[in-house]
Amino acid sequence: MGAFTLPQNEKDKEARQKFLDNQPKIYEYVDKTKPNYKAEDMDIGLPLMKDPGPADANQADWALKIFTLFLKIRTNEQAIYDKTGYDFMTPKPVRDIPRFVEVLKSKGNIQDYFIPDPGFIQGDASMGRAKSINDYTDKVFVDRTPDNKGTAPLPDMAKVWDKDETFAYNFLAGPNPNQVKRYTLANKPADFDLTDFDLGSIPGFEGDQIGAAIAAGRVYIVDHSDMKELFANLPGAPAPNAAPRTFNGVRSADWKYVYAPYAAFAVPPGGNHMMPIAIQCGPKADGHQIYTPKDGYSWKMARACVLAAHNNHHEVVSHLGLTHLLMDPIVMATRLHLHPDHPIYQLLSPHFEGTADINHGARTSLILPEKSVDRLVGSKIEMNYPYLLKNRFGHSFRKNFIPTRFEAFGINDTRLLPNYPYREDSLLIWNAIRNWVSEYVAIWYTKEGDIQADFELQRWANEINTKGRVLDFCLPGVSGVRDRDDLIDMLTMTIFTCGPQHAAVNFPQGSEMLFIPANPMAGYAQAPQGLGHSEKDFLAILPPLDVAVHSWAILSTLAGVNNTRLGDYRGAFNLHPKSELARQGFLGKLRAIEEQIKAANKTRRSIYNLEYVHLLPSRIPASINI
Amino acid sequence: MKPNLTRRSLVGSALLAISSQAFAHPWVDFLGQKDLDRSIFAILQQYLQLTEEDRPLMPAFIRRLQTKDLHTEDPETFKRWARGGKETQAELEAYVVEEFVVASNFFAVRAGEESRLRILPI
Ligand SMILES: [Fe+2]
Repeated sequence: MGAFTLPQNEKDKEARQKFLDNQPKIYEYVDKTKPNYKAEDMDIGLPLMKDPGPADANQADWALKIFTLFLKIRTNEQAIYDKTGYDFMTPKPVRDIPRFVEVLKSKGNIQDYFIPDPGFIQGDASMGRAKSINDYTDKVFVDRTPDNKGTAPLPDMAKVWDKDETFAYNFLAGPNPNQVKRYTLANKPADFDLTDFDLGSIPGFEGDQIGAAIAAGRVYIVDHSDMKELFANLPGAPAPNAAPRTFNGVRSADWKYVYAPYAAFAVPPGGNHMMPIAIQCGPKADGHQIYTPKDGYSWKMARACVLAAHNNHHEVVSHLGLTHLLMDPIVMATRLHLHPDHPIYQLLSPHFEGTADINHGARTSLILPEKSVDRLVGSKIEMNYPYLLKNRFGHSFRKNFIPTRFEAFGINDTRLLPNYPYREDSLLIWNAIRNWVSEYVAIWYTKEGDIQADFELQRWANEINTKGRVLDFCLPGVSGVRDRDDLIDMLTMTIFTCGPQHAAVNFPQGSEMLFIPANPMAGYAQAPQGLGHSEKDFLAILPPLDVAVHSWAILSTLAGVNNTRLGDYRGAFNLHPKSELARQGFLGKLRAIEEQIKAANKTRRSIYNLEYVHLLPSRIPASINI
Repeated sequence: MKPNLTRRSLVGSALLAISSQAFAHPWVDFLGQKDLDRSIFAILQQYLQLTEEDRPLMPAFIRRLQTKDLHTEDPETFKRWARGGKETQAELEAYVVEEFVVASNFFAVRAGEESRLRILPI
């Protein structure tokens, strides 16, 4: 690789173009209309890289991390088999040299070798239902020493999961932390009208009035009512939102459920964080009423319905759809249109390390029927595809720039909505990335005309906007990059999504979601109707233990591989002192942010008994690779 | 920075190597250091195609298997399998092969990122 050059300044233009002309032979979109298409390529209707190319492999440190992790996870899985006495459908995972060697040769399924889905618990009339909340610790986190070490330590979340503060925390610092909106008279859903709500009767809000709270901008909402689109409406099912549980062709007698709920929150006058005030688990027309924190186990069940929907949305939309699969066509365009000597290729490529590879794995395995996503989320697997497509294609690149989204959602005012960890930390990092990218762009594009003259860059942006179908990647009426500011916007959002945004939606899987009652991804009973529910009713809505075990293993894997680091470009700028100097400035800024977040975490711990660690720069990977 | 190897530091590191090797094999009485090195190396040669030039890695690898928390079986189990002869050979083989892959730069060598196998620092 030579020194970085813009294409208009390239000395050997012919060789450079020849290289690029060959790229479409290596990089193809998966497309079922092409003659070389095979069913296992899984065209799901999105523009995605068919097969990862040579630049898209994970490096060796990734393989080392995942194998090391799998050995640990398997140790706990074995302990579960040995100590619970459950008769799972799948035999206990054991060491097996021929299979292991096959896995090393990349011919065997690594997940099936180390941590296969255990399948249902056989011979259990209750279908593996928990008999008490303790089952979710004692039967899942089995290889755990009294001082909480071993291969399955309990996360802090397991101590505080049941509090209403923690429920609120999930929407401010949990796995899907950017769904909260301000509730106003102008945007209130007709089916969830709180204008007559008796706010003053809610503990902590004595004397407060809903009208005043809405007018002051202290009421917030999470609206998952459009998840009705995920209802399978199956003939013979107990409800429209029920889907069968199947594994290896075997059907369990029970059902899983997805919901379309609303949850409302409010900040008390002078309060330092929002608290939940009301939940409606689905449309009023379907008989759903409003529950409040005064409703005992009925309230807990309603909370579980909201979390099940929210986490189903998290995996399908916020995690898979809007990080992994949104970046895939940007990787494609970079490989197709930017020569490796292009300075923007060098800036972006480390942010794409392993992305096409992991996406290929997800597309061809994880999201297939009966595989992990199907086993863990509430919606029937086939129902997720149109919902994923709608959300992915409808997601405006520009309207979701971090500051823009917070403003549009009415959640940018730190006085009205204090102690929102994801908002606070993501803004710091957004600004640091924007600064770094601005300096880098100024180094390589010394005058505005350089942008228009850069035909590789123009084709790159156009590809993403058209074939890549990334909505609003280009400005209205522009078919490429308008100017340096425009390029800075595109790069900031891309890098932010690859690094911090994916970190924010991926790593809470290992802290907030690991203890499954804290954050289920599906319900296992219909949403509550009426009042007066018991602990037994609440347990019935929580996941069965086969799901809890498999969920623990999968989420431990997804959150356990933390490879590559934001700000580390694997030496790409070694020969370019100006760029390297700017990168050093970025690293310095990240170090300062690290200290700022650590200080803020002291306050957060005092409020929520939890710290928000997922956007500490020292923990943010450069790329989406797990 | 230039490496600054004095005679004293060379002697020092040689002494350290000797003492850590002695420490590495507390059950040397049962098997003999060389026998253990040889049997573990034979397993890795067979399944992971290690070559003669990788043989010197054995003491460091075996030392890792006896260090707390760096592997999936406790050192006592490893010891039992290593001493168990034919009856425990299958367990020993499977264990050693899996552990070597994560105790070394196996993946980096396979990917061409590094040229020689080495045991990763603890
Ligand atoms: Fe991910």
